[in-house]
Amino acid sequence: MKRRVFISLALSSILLNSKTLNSINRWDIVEDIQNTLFPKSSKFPSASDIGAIEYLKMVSRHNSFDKEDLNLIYSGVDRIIELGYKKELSKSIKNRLLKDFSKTNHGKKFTSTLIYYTIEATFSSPIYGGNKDNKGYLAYNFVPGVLKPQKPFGKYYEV
Amino acid sequence: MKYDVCIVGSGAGAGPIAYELVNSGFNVIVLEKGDYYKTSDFSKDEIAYCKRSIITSNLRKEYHVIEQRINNKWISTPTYKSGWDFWNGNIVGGSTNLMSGMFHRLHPKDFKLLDNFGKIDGADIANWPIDYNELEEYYTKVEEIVGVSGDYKKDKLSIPRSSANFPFKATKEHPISKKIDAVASELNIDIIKTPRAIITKDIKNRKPCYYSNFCGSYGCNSGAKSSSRVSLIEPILHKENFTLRYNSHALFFKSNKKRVTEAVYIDKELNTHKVEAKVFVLASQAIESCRLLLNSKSKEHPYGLANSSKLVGRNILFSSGGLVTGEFDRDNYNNIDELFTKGYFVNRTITEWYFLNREKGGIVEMLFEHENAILRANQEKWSSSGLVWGEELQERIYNRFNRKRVLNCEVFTDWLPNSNCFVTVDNRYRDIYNMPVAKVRVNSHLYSQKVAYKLALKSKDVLNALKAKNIKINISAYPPVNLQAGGCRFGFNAKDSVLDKNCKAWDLDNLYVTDGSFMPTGGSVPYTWSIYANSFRVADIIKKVL
Repeated sequence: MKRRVFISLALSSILLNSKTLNSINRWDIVEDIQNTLFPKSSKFPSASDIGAIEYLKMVSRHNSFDKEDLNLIYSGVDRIIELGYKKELSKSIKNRLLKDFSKTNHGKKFTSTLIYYTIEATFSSPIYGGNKDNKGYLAYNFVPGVLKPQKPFGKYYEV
Repeated sequence: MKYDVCIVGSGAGAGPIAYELVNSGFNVIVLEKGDYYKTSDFSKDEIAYCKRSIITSNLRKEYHVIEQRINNKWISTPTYKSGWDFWNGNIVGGSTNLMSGMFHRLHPKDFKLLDNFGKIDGADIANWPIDYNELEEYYTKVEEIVGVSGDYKKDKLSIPRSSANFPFKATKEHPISKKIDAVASELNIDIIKTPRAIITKDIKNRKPCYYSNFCGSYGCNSGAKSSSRVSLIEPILHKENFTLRYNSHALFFKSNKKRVTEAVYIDKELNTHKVEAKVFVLASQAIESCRLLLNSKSKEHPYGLANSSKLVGRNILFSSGGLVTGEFDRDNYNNIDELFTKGYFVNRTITEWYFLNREKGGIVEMLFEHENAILRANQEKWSSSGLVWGEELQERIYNRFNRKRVLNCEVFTDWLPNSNCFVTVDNRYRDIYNMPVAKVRVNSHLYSQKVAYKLALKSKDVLNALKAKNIKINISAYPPVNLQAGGCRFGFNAKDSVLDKNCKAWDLDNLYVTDGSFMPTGGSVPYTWSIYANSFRVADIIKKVL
């Protein structure tokens, strides 16, 4: 890691310790990380374009969602913030931070889980809040099966 | 009210009993744990039907405990911790709603595996107390009433059949099937068109297959898939002498010394009810049927119901085997548009290696990998150097969907019954109804894995002949949770078995078990056709008893 980057990260870590994590909107950071994992390019939409954060918020409220995954996402976000992750950082530093964090067991599970739910957002029916305007299907040239779901989570929809 | 027959479950082991007895005028009730999803309720929703517990039990409320051998110790893990879900389709019709429906009859030699292939150290193989001839007419009945399509061609196995061909013609095929046939001919190996539990023409309340491209793991939107629900339960639903109670979870039976007297069940509002009947039939899939019997202890039956032999739960079976995969793209498949033809089935089963010299082999099913997007995309995040993301992952996903197709060879071999593969209940682990959950010790016999590996190597030769790329072999000791059998084996005497040859419990006059748990050995094919057939057979027996 270059010295200048190291110093700036060390400083931001010191600053963070004097600020409670609760004052940082976790979901904003989750969305930013999703966009690092699934960035916008000429060929593919970003996670935000897909509506990945709206998807995650919606499905995590349903009783079928594994609450341990939600805890893992929260704890992973808290930890990567402690390691210096900020929305303002450059793409390369964000990727470096994610890569270093993913070398730990906690980090690997966190990153893998967030990738997984972003994939769900990309390829699920738009009725779940992601895959906006079928952008996921169109970008990856995927044809879903017929009949498409009319409501989320099967026959009944209870939050 | 006292019914003639009370059936617990509504899948392959239950549907034929209900269908036959209702149509013979008997008063029948079915208690189904899960909800009722009609044909029109299903959709190809990967989230609801493949990624969440919508039509299976929530593991936080109802779970299993799985015991595995790890570092020379048996370690128990509740499935709410591991996420290893042993539930299959808790809805009317059970897992038959979700099957791929590759249907095979057992070979006559499968009924006498011990006589034909001898003992194997560490395996508790037993002959069936019936032979193929006693089941043949019922295999044919399943073809007609439940619905099996195919195109019969005699192969070396020559399994006898009373009808010349299937009542429904074979489903449409992907062009790769012809290439597979050509290679099979060059290699001189026997290959058949896979019989499918999928209909190809209109009948009654069912429409033919519309080739959705998403068959296995999903309920069928046309009624083409021959689930117990659409083929057997729904045709009798309007009859006055039939009662279907869904969201009705049978917890245990009450009994006296010789008879089951009541089935006790709980409804969605957690009210407890009881059902009285002359005859009780248990068909809630092998693990749960064993659990119910073990949870039905009484002073007359201190080891659990039907368990004077202490064999209830013993010798649980799954299916051994694994997967051999090969890839096709524009380099090794001359017509890329043809390769990406979607919806049509491959429908080829290699039967050449069903017997291997002096040992029992198995079959190899050939099919394209499942089309589920989330499943396939998620696999691309792992490379040999670890987690992948960003543009690299996006490209990998795109290529997986658009540049190649993966052909699977699914190897099926016998899961040998053994003393370290069984179901018990453990009072320390209880579900939300306060009932002890099933604790499953899982152990695959090494012999099964060796045979599976032999078949895998032969499958690799076939894929090589097809010029497939990146061929990979994955033989697994893990049990496929959707293929459960054993635990209440039928047999020749009360000391060595739980059920007699009619699938009636030795210990009781009025209890029958007709899901896959009756099987002492499962054969090296998916079980469902045999379960359906045996259930029709037992229905005829119960008719005479009543």
